[in-house]
Amino acid sequence: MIKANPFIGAVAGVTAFSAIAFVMLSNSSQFVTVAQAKKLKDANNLHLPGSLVKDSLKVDVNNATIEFQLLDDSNEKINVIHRGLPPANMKDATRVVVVGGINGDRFESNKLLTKCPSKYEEERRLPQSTN
Amino acid sequence: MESFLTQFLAQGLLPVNSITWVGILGKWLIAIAGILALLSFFAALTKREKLATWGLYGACFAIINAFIDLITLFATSQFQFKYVQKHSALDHEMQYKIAGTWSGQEGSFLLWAVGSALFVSLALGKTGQYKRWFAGIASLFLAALAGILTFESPFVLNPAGTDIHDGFGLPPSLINYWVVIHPPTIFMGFGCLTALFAWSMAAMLHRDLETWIDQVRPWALIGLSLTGVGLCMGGFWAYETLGWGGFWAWDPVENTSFVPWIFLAVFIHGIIVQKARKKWHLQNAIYCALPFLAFVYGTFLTRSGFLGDTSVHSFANMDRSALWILVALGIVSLIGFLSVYISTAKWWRPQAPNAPKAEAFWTKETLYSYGNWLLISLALIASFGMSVPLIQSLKGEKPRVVEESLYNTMSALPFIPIVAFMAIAPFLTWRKEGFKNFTKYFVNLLSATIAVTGFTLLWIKWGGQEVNLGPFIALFPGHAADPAKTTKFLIKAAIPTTPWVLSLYALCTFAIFANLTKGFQLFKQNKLSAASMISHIGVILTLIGLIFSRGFEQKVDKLVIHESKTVSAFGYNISFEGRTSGFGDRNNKIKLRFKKPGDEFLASPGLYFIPGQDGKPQEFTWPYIHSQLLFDTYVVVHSFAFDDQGIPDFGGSVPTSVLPGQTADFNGYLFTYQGMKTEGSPGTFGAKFITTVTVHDPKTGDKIINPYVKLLGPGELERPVVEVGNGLGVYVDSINAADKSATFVIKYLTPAYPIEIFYKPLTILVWWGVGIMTIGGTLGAIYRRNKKTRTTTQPDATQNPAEV
Repeated sequence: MIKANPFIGAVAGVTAFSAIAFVMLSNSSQFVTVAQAKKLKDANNLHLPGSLVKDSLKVDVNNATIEFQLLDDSNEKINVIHRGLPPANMKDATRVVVVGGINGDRFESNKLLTKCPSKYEEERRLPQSTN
Repeated sequence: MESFLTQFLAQGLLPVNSITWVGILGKWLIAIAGILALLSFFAALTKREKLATWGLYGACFAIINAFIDLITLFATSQFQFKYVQKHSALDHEMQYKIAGTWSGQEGSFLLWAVGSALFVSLALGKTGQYKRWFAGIASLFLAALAGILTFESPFVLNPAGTDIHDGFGLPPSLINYWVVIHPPTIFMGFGCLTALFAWSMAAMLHRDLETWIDQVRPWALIGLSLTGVGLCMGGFWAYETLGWGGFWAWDPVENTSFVPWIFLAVFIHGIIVQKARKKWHLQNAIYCALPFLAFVYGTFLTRSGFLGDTSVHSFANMDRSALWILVALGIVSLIGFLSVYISTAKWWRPQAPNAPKAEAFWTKETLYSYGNWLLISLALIASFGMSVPLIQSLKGEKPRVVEESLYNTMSALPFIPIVAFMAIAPFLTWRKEGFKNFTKYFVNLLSATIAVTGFTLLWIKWGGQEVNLGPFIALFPGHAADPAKTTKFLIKAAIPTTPWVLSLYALCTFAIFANLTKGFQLFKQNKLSAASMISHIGVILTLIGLIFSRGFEQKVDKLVIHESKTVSAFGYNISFEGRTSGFGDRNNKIKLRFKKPGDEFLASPGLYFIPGQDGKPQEFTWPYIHSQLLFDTYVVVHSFAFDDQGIPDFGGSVPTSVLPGQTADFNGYLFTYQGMKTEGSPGTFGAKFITTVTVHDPKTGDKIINPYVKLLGPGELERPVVEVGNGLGVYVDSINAADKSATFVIKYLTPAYPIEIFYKPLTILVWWGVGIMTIGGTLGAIYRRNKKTRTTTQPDATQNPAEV
């Protein structure tokens, strides 16, 4: 016959929850500024948020890489190279988060997250053909 | 508040056109709903059941009508309303105009209110002796939502005199059929959670923890099905439309729906134990309330701005007053629930029926208990993961984010025993009979699992290959798995993907066979009592689809396709066949012919452009998914590049230097440099270096062209591109007079598209799983409902092990 002990159950529950909390918090990825990223040279899973510098986006379709400049929240710029093609909404993104690490004087990204305005506030224009 | 009232009244006095009054009515209906809901709540407190009931019905009626008003405004393009202007446009098809209703913050709150109003008004008549408290609690929630909608109103008019002929429209990435059906489905599920919370509170306040379980059971099953299907629809949307390439990414918005769904599953199992063993009365009150509380918390988290950059979803800033009402709703719900729970627990414990203890570990009761704790831990992992940015923010530290891989690793820990329990529990009874029912079938189940896993192993090893199997030559479909691929395991370690995914696959397969076996047995006793087994099979099939397609997914990128160029991926030769329309057409598709022996199809991924905010073309892409029985071929086409002026640059070769007589190859076209002649004096302006190049076109043969370079001035050269056919051109980049060499660049003159191709095995199981899960949930709800109408006394499941 199984006899439940509420005290043991509570201790087990609290321990399990604490373990979940500890593991998830200690293994979560850090958001950094450019200056902080430069100090963490060996890290390769840093999240660097910022905005895309206007007209800095260059796409190399043959090698499926893109390069651009990112302006972080401390107004510091860094060159970013991303291994992959740009997401569809890249140019209209209000915020960009690149995930990766510092290599030399640039940030090498293996994952790129973009956030677009949820509302298109500007006047709607007719699509133009780029034929 | 004063400014709000002034604005409110002022807007009522604005000149109205024929339909503006509908929106103004909508705004008043929200206010009326709030007043009626408060009236109902106070009537419930003062024991006036009839007034509480009719107050709630009135509030629900007003909210539903306000929603109909908003749909009317969208359907008739009433851009004088700010919300309609922001989320609709004249060129939208009718279904997208209507979908605009719930595409913004205000409309999604109204949809939540409508889902809640529908479910509480439908359920109210079934609540029996709990009616007064049910009405009171549900009304308090509707009053809070009416308050939020007062500050986050979709019925705000643009300033009088504003000349508005068109709206901004939905973001292009939202214009898809999923935006029409996914939000209403999942918000109906969230509405059902409100009814469940009210039921739980009413049961405790009425001091009857027995009767309500029968009443609430079909509604819990409906809630489970709706939120489950809604979740899966969201996954399909991400997979099919947004080009994310996957079903699930553990984003906070996804977790906000996932956690309540898990808690609903916990509650469903809690009901079974209460019915069978006459215990868990207090626990079930918690389990029934948790989905709603979790959803309110998730809504706060995703709309409060705490997530910042840690979610891929964008959230408009919520009105501060509305946010405070939402916070108050969460706090009042939680504190109210805990207070009622504590007082109920004090009342209940002395009189709780003397329920039998679990007779052994291997009984249904023990496995349901541990299974529920495992499910709760899964919900806690998702909840805690999405709360990390909030915790960091409260600590005043920079945000951190839990990555998808960490979620996957952590969730695998409870996932494995949960699936094992799903396989074993159906064979156990509530009595001390141990494993004997299970062991009877164990060898057969294990044999079937080994056979299926073995075939699967052969498939992933020899996919896409012809294999000599004794007298037969077998062609295995698909593509072989990459044996070098690794997966993160236990946070830091990386283990080979193939054995890891196959182990999970084998466990899930075992669980499916176990539920099939038990389902057939139950089917003989009562056709509908197999519903829970059907639901289990649906859940497990979905899990297999998700695990397998993610684990064995392969990708080929760095491919550029052009009318002059054929590329290869996954055994297919892929050629370009043009496009269906202009680049400004939302329905434009790029036609790509995929061919390999015995298999051919035309893929048509979408690509179109709208003017971006900087005035330059902004691309939008839609993947094309070619679904076959065992795998999907997922094709994404990207845009070519644009220069700083927004002029397209289709790319081409790197500069290639050749000596006279040498040949360069580009996409199978052979460019042989024959030599060069000079006009004018070399080194002086006006000098022209004319090359002779023989171009061998593999289809049409040879032709001779004469690209040249002319010195026009200091640093100024004339280097025209000479067309060679099939969208190709060539120009002279530079010449070397010393060795007579010339450097050529071959250009694409027509669009060349970068493409990515994914191989995703067994994704079809996600679709099948969701369908089967829905059927199981629906049959279960019908079964429970019919059974209740047939008999007023529940059979004791301890006497009938099949009665689960």
